Amino acid sequence: MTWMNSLTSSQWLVLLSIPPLVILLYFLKLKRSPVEVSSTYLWRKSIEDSHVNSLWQRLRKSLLLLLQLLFLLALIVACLRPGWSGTQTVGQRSILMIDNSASMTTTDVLPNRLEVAKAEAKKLIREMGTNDVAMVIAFSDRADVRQGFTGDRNRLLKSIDSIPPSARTTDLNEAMRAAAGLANPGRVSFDGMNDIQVAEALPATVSLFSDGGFSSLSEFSLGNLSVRYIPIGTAAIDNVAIEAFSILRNEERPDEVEAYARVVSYCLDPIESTASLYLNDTLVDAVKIQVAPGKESGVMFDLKNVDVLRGVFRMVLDRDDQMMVDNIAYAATRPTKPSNVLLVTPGNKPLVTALNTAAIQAMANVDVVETEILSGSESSQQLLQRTDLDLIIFDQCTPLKMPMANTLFIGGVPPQSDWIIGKTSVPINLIDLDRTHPMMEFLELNSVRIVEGHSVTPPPGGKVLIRADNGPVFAIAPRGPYQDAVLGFAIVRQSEKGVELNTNWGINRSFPLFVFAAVDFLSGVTTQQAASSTQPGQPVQLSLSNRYQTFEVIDPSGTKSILDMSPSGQYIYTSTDAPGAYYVKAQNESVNTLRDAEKDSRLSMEERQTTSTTTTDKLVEIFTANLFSPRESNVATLKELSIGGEEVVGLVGKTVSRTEYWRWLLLFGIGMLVTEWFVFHRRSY
Amino acid sequence: MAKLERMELITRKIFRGRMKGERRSSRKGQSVEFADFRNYVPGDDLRFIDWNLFARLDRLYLKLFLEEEDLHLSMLIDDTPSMRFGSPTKLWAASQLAASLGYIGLCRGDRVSISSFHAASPHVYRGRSSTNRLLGSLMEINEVSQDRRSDHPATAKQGGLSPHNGMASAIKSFCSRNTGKGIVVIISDLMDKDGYESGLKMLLAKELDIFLIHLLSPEELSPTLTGDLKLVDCEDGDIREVSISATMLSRYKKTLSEFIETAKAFCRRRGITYVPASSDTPIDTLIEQYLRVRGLVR
Repeated sequence: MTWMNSLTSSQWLVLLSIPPLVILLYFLKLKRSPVEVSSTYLWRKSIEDSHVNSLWQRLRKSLLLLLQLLFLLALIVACLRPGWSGTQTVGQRSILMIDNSASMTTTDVLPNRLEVAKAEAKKLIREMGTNDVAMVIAFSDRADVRQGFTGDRNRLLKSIDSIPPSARTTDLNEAMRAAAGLANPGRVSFDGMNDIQVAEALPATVSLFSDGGFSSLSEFSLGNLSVRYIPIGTAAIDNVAIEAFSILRNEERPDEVEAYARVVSYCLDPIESTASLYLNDTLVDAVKIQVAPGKESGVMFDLKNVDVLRGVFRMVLDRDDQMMVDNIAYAATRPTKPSNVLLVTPGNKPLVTALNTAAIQAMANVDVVETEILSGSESSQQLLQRTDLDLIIFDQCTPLKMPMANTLFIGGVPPQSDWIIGKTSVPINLIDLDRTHPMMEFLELNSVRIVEGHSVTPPPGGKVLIRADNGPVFAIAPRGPYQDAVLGFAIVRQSEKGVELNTNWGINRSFPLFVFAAVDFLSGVTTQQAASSTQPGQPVQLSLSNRYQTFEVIDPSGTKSILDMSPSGQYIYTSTDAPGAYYVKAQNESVNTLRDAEKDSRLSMEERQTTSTTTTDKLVEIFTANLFSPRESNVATLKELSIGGEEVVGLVGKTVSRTEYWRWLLLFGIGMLVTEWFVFHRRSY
Repeated sequence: MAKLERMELITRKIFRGRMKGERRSSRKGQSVEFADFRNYVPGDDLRFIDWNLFARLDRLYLKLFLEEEDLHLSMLIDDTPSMRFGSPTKLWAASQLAASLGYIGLCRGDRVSISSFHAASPHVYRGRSSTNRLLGSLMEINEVSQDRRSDHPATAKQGGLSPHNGMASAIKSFCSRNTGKGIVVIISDLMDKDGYESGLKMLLAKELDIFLIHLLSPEELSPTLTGDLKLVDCEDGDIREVSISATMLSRYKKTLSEFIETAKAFCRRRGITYVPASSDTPIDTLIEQYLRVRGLVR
């Protein structure tokens, strides 16, 4: 039997003054029948003689008083908190740090490690003394102070209950820095003075409830903190994790997509399982996997038979192990974002016709402007510097400076660049073309005849795609983040007779195919097909077109959050707590495209009212969040930690809870009170 | 009555009464009964010279006679409200006792005066014929006490009156009125919170033969009260809350016996005859056994 004082001295004073008060009240409420006597002279003397004993004489046979005193006795003893099985008490200032990272969802201890940690922490809260204060910090890859220092046990217990599980990784550093705030206050120094401590150091005890799944803090200085590590979980684990999963374009066959995953086993026995791949919740493939203990295995899914490879891929390990969050991985293809293509041409009917095909219209918004824009006003020049343009086709013209976009020069040459332009040759015979390049894949140019043209030699890093008898006539070369493709001959040319064909390619069947491939490749529709992936809790940077006013992010649970418009088009999204796919949808298209503006100028007022300002709710981006953390997936609980160069050994089995009896005593006291009430009323009536 | 008529009051002291009575004094004086002779010394009253003896012996002798005196019997009856308690009441017993003693005195021709603590002046009687008046005075004391008791002490206080005349003040008043010697019989329960000692000391100075009859009721001697009670003093309204148990009762009895013993010791040291009595004791028993034993009557 142990006792624990739960009241302050002043509170004890108040409590202990109650029994005398009850006795006093007993005397006050005692109804005495008045009797007239000849004189109280002798009685007075008798009372005075027995003054000391008279108190006990009055108390004889008072059941009511006895019951009341018993109740008070029970109350007082209850306040001493008698308990069985003594344990360590918490120090005066305690910091309860509870790990709620992904590894704490492991179910090797039931119901899971986080719940066990919360239960252990709550036991410590209940053992707190009257003057003790505690602080609750939940930590994963960041520290979350759930409750500042307080002595209010209810608030502490509630704050512990409110700690949610997360799929985040673990980083103890921030949590320890938060804990050390008051224990190791900072120091300030001024010129000519020694540094001074800004606050009094308040030593505290850190109770760390974790499985130890984090890197050791060698740089951290504990100072006035003393750390107690309460390991949660077991060392023998059964967990298989997906540690990588991605959708990649086949380098050799760019139109093909591959799904690749890496599966790691942390089990003590070899495992054999199946991995299923779902595309938009439809099973597309499943493969059998075998992984040796502590080894990893690659998984490749066959997607050749899948027609439309767009959407969210979900890979699931069909295995129930102790940690399920790493048995599912997500990958996604980015939505087909219509690219913006600007054609600057003095007039090129075959090219305009090719750009107006249904395939290109579905893929890109094509704007056509005259070449006068190149020599026009400053605002016209700024049109070329628009950031939302993906591709600018310069037909028979050259801008003053290169735009911030991919370019395709047809019969023109890039200004101020390293491209080497050859002399004009008449005629040109095509010799060879590189069919490995996406733009050249299906072209057949044998029947193409060209009146005149010039060779184009790309700068270093460039690639020649069509070679003619006078040298390279079509090549592509990188320019920073952009790519420039230059075709050495025009499709049509301006002559004294007017516009005439320079080549029959424009009326050839392969020309629209080439234009489609060029727009497809150069406008970036296919180059960045795989959506980015991040770890839960990590921020994601989104580059979104500023043609929309607002964006809405839908997280895996279906919760929507609004991203406000950013002038730069760069957004940071941080609420990536849950693993899964996040959809970014655009709302309220606000900036009309150039083509819209041109159309508007040609439309009557009535038509403008019916067509302008269309409200859209369009999927513009997808990204995924996956755990992919070997440290989290390797959920074996560590028996000791290293913090600040100190080894902290886990207190296994030392946080034995007290079995307290104060509730029973209180119940007994209440029972006494009820009996007293009953007896009192039985006596009254 | 016949017994009483045969009795007479006695005193251990020599008193000079105002009138010649039936009582033969130990002093030599003027009476018809010869006592002795003594030699004449100049200054003696020549009327008492035995001239026959001078003729025979030629010497002057004085003839002495026994002095006959009357006895002053003063009775002070405590008529405070506390005396009205008991069955029979202490005041009733006191009245009976006073009547008996008074009757004895009157039969012997003694001067009998009756006074209560509250009376303004005593009633003085002499001669057997005054018996009825004596009894009337006692009845009056009883009635006045009854009337006084019907006034609650609290009411008396509000009216500015003294709730009761204490023993000391009553004796002081008695002493101021009585200058002669004699027997004083005080019948009281001595339940005076101011104490009885000072009053008795005043009487001592008067060289009176003092008898103190301490009259208590059976309820006071052996209380039958029990339980949690609020005792109200009938004289001054004083309230004492007390839970009466066997322990408390034994303590009370102990206090009572101490009280009696203290009074007895006080009286013995000062030559006062102390006679404890209970109000339920028959009056003849009281007279014959108590007072005769203690030498008040014979």
